[in-house]
Amino acid sequence: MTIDRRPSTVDRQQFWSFPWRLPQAGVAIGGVVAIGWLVQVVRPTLQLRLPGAPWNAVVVVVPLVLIALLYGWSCARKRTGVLEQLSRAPAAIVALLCLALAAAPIAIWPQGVAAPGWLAQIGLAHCLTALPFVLSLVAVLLVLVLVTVRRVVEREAGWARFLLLHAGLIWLLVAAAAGTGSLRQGRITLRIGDGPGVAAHSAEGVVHHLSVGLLLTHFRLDRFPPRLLVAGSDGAAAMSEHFLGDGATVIAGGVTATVQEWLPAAAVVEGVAWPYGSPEANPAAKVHLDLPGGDSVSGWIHAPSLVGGALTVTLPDGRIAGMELPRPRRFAATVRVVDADGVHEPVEVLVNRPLKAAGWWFYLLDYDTRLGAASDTVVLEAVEDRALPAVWLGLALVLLGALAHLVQARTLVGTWSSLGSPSCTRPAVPRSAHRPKAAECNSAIPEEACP
Amino acid sequence: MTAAVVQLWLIVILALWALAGLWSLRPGSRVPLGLAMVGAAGLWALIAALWLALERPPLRTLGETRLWYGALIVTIGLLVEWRFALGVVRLPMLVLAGLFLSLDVVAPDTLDRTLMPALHSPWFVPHVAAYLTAYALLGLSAITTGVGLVRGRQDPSAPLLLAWLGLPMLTVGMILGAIWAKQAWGHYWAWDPKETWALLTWITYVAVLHHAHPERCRPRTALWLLAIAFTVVLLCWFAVQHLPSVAVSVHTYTQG
Repeated sequence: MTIDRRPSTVDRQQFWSFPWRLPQAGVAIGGVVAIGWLVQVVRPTLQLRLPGAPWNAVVVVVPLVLIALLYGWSCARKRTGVLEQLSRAPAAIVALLCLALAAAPIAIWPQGVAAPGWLAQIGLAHCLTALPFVLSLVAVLLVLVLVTVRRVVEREAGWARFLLLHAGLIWLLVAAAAGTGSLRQGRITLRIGDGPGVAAHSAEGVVHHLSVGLLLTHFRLDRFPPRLLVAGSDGAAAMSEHFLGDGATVIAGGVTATVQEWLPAAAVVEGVAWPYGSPEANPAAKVHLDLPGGDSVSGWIHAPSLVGGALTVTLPDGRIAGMELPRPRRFAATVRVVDADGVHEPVEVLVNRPLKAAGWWFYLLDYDTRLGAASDTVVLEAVEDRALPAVWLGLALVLLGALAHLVQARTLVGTWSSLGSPSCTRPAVPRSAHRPKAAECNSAIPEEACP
Repeated sequence: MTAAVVQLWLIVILALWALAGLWSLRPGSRVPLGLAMVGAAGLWALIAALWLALERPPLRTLGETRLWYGALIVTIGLLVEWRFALGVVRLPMLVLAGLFLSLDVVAPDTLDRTLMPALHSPWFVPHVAAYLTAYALLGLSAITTGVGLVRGRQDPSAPLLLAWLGLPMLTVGMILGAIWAKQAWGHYWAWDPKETWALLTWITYVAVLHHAHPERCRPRTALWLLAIAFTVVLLCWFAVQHLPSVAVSVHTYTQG
């Protein structure tokens, strides 16, 4: 006699019975995302992008609002259904894990033009616009909206704290996602002596014409003093803890260096250092070097620059003593904004201190590192983000919600046992497929404490 | 202040904590608590001394962050022990903190006064400190989880509480980082590999803590999930620098 082991209709109905647990949520949400992965691999050039304003808001906000209203009405009428299952923890967990999996390639491999060829062949060189990521993000947003509506309607314990955090997350994700459709950004290169820069070039090759122009009038680079560098033939190098300077004594790799002569800016001609007061010149120092074994040697050290090659001293033990390239401490670009009102007063733009003009923000990114302090070129990032105020609001709500959860963390742990006292855990609400076994209780715990 | 002085200072602190750990095996004595507190105070004093000597926040290199981590683990561990009567954290916190400080003794940083221009920001210290606080809490959660798994305990309350304290701090750290990134580079979120790993860490803990509830999860499963989640923290903290994506990341630690 053969036994029919195919899942029957009754078995399938029982699988999908409410409430859903992880397997059901995994099939429902994970299944959709998995299809997205398959489609992306088959169609690697498929990319999903939001339209520009105002349609970005329409595409993102309107469906969520409709779903929220529909579900709110359903909750108020005490009806349960698939939406109610999607508002539960298993659905949230699956949606989050799908999002993590979709974002994982970004964390591991470079994206865009730098992405490995095989990654591009399966459509994951631009993960953020790939179908798996978009579907996962939609799933997370959907679950967030549904669970927030349910908690508010049902007024479960801690709903205010919950609302603060989760509504903040919804607001933040919607603002950030919708905002990408209206975001304008690009790089602008300014050179001293050139006309005003009026266009920013994005990484995708889009040219954004600015409503203002920027004139670069001055560039300033402050550097740390250099340090002593002692390098061996095996590539091992030691750096002094203190800076070189006039009369300084520093130690690196067991070698004590005393500065006998100091040139703050020097050019090197035929192996000889000369004072040279120019921004692109590096310092030079005549040092007396004492080795641990009693040997000593003197000579000039200088880090290479546009006005002179490196000067080093070979030590009796075969190592080389030199000077490190002075590291940048701070750099600033002085610019003048040009608009319909004319040329405005000079303004200094630094890293962490951007310039705002005509709705655009300009961030100082880079300069010509070959020229160093003599650089006549800077690179700025121009950004126009109209969704920014909404994003800040979302961040503020999430921050407050997180702090509220921090303060009430103890209530979130759940009733496993009394904190700090050993006891057997109360068995979870029995599931149909599991009964707690005596062996699950810790043998050190009295039997009468165990159910 | 030299690297040798820092090493010696750390050795003294490690000796105090080792003594505290051994003494705590004899229940009922307050001496271990005192030794742990003195060690923690000494470590905070070292951090303050480094800050003055280097003329910058000592948060730039891996070695410097390990100092903060050790100090935060013990400080937060003592606070959690006092506030929630969690004596179980005492020995694990000393072990974990001692491990991190030992790395600094074995492979000390070269003290370096330089600080790159992008790190000259008032958000630098709050952002990194928030993350290190979160990592300390999650590290304590992980180590109490390990103890629970090894000893066959069925009570995940202590590790879960520590994780529930750590997750909001992860959130705070991410938000502070977003604000700083906007000010420095123009984008509050650029999907930098480090940022993405931070997001993956956050998502992992959110998923684990949503599942680790008595109505949905067995105690031992909760412990295992917490252990797995902490591996993501370690990947985010240490492994990202060894991945192919590091080439395009601005969050690379420098070795002193």
